[in-house]
Parts: sequence; structure tokens; C-alpha cells
Amino acid sequence: MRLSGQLQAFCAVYLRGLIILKMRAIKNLISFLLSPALYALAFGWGIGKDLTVEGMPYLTFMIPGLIALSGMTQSFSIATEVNISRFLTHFFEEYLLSPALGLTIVLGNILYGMTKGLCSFMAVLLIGLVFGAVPNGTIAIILPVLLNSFMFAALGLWIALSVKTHRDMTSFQSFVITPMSFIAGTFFSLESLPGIFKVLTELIPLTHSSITIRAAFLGEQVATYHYVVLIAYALFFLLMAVRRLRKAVS
Amino acid sequence: MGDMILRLTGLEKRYPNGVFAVRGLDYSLEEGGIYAFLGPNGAGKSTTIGMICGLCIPTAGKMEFRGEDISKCPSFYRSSIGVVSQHGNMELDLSVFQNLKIHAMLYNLPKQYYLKKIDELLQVSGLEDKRDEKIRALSGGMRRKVQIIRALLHDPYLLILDEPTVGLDPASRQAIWDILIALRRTGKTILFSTHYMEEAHIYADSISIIHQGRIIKKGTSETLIKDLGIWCRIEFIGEEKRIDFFSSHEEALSANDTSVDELIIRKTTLEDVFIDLTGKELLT
Repeated sequence: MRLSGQLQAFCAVYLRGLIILKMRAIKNLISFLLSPALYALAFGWGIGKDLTVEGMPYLTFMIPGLIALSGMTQSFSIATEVNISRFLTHFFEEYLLSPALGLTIVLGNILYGMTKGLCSFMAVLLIGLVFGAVPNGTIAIILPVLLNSFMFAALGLWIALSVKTHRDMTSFQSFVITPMSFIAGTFFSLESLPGIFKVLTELIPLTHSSITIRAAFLGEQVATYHYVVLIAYALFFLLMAVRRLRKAVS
Repeated sequence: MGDMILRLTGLEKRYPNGVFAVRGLDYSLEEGGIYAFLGPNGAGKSTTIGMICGLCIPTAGKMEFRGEDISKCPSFYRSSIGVVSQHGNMELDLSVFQNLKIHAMLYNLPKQYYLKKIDELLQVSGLEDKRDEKIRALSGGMRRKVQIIRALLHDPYLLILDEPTVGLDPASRQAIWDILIALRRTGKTILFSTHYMEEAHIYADSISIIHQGRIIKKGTSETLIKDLGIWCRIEFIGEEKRIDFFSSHEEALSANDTSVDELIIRKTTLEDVFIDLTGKELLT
């Protein structure tokens, strides 16, 4: 199949995601808003009301972290959908049987994950505005937000194609995704961590998302190195997802 | 039947634990025929079908489609086959049309073509009023019809069906076979796996009996029966049951033994052939 055919197949994969996103619009909207709103309420208004971190109100510090966290959660959530279509409905077979390339199928799914990530970004931005956290940055925030959602959608796909059962997926979320949520500069400044822990957090992809999104949100400059790490992780996860897709044909 | 459409040579599937699902399978299909894989659960039918569809990678052997090595042109091959999976593999929350549209886009079909073809196939299958129904709302028979429509949408040369009528009521099974028989008239080659004996007997031009990952016998229903003996003699002596096969009714009768408690002489069935070859009974 030529490039135009692959593009059409890519649109088919994305279309399926969009139809499902639209079909569950209300549930999705609630899921985009609920967790960030609760975090903002509990940590921003509750515990952190009179706190300042790195010279700014805690809420202003936390909202970019929430954008990164929520983007990760929503983009990664395509893993669950892929698992359902692999183990329950077997719809994933439809992709594997088609003449579409593995890369085409992976990219179509990633774009769907990114769309979810972008929706969550807008939801958290809205929550921030309601709670009084106004961004000082520009449209440039879109770049780290897109990288963050691409990276975690690709990771989600890689893991979803690697696990043997639903239970393995839950384990990955419990042991990797949930801990990452809290130790990646989302809720507290990494400056306060002891040296070795600070180095370890540098290995976590979400750390670089939090740093770049926060800098863009506040209109500050950030070392290019963080973007390089994000791109490297995104490409690595993409490569692994494509590789696993080939192996999904057992 | 016509030219060779698919040839499998020494096909093998061995899992990492060393277990063979399929071993040394040689098989070929000619254009326009209906071919059946008959075997009990675990015989290797689905694995063989999986390898032919490309869902399962063989550990050894070669597959050729119209003389071309499939591994060298996988995309062309996938465009040339239509697959009806045993699992249903449809998006349950999407409508019939949405499922078909996604398939058409995956196969890069022109919009005008697939819109017309979808309407045409839905009408032929009697599902025109189900176009916008969610798959979840359809009966098992209707879902299988939608799967067949989907597999035909890109006009494949070869239609592969893995247990196409499993779990369906008799009326739905008949409706599925009506569609497949009509397809055969259009020259499509059909390969299906089944454990329903009478489906293989009635519809297949060639039946391959698969047992423990091997084709142990191949032929038409008639030749398989003839090879065994068209008359079956069953003797009951006390608790014991003895079965013999004969080529004529006279032979079956002349083997009469006065010591038997009960004697049945009847025509040999495909099931007798199967049990004789594998020692297992199948659903009829």
C-alpha cells in the first residue's frame, strides 16, 4: 500500500478513537475535569493555600504539574482501550489483518492518545483559571504539552501490546505510573530533594514534562536539554510500540 | 476449480515451550473451491488459519499466494484475503456502518466505491435496516453476517473463515451458508475451519482432517468415505462394540456372526471416517 493508502489507514485508526471519544463525551469530560479539580481543591486551596514554592503561590506552581500529570494519565489511558480491543473484543485483529503498516497503526493510536492529552490540558487550564492560576506564558506551552502526550500515548501503546493479561496492565499502572505521578516535580519542587533522589528523578520522563510545561506556563526559559530528553523518550517509546506491534502477531 | 491460489509447504508452528501446534503442513488451494479444515478443539485448525491470515507467524515453512512468497509481499497478500475471525473482532460500541467504514479506510478503498458496496452487501444480506445499529445490539447471526460483509468489502480473492457458524442457531447457520454458497458462484475461493461434520460434508469440495497439528487425511467427503468403506457394520457383543467397514452391502452382511447380541449395518458417515482416523468424536 502506498503512502496515500497508509495515510487513509492512519485516519481510520484515528477515526475509531475519535468516534469513541465523542460517544463517551460526557464521561470523558468528567474524567478530564474531576481529578485535576480535586487535586487543585485539596492541595491548591486546602493544604497549599498560604504556601509559596520557588517564590510563587503553590497553586501557580502546581497547575503546570497538574497539566503534565493529567496529560500523562489521559494519554496513557489508551493502553486500557488497546487491551480491551486485544483481549476482549479482539478488534485489534482488524488492524493486524489489514495492509496497514505497524507504524501507521501505532501513529493513529498515538494521535488519539494525544487528542485525549490535549483535552485534559484544556480542562486543567480551565480549572487553573477558576482557581486563579493565570498562565504568563504564550502559546509555546503547546510544544511540551504535545511532547508529553505523544510520549505517554506511545508508552501506553508499548505496554498495552507487551502485557499478557489485563492484570499485568494494572500492575504496571500501580508500580510505575502512580509513583511517577508524585515524584516527578508535579506537586513539589525537586530542588528540595537530596542529591541522589534529585538525580533519580531526572530519569523519569514526567519530570522533564513538568519542568518544560511549568517553564512555558510561567513564561520562563528552560534548558533545551529537557526537550531533548522528552524527544528521546518519545522516539524510544514509539520504536518499542512498533516493535511490539509486530510481535503481537505471535 | 482453477489455478493454484495458495500453497503451504512444510508449515510449522512451535511455541517457545517446545509444543508443536502445527507440524510439517503441506496444503494447497485452487481458485473457486470451498475447502474445509475439520478437527476437534486443539487440533491446530485455528493456528493454521491464524498463520494463513498472518496473525500467527510460522516457525518454519513457506506460504505462497499465486506463486509469490507471502513474506515478500505481505501488504498485497493482506489486501487479497478476507478474514472472518472466530472472535467477532468488531468494535461493539460502533455501528455496523462505522465498523465497515473503518475497514474500508484501512484497505484504502475509494469513498464512492465503499459507500455503494456497503449498501449493496447490506441489502444482499438482509441487513439494510441495521446499518446504523450498534454491533452490541445485533444477534450472533447478524454479527457474523456483518463480519462476512466486512471481509468481502475489499473484494478479496480468498475468504478465510475460522469456525464461521460456531455458537449460532440452525437458522442463522443456514443463512450464513446461503451467503457463502452464493459467493462461491462468483468464483471466490473459500477456506473454513469447523468442527461441525455436516457442514464439511455438505459444502466443502475438499476436506482436510487435522489431528495433533497434522493433516492426516484429505479428499472429498465421498472419497474419504469410500477409502474407509461405504458400509459400516456395528456389532454389539455384551458390553463390547465392534465397528468394521466394507465396500459393499453384501460384504457387510456376509461377515455375519451369530454370536452378536445386536447388529447394525448402515452407510458410513464422515463422522465414522473422523473417529476411525483420530479416535475422537466431533459435534454433528
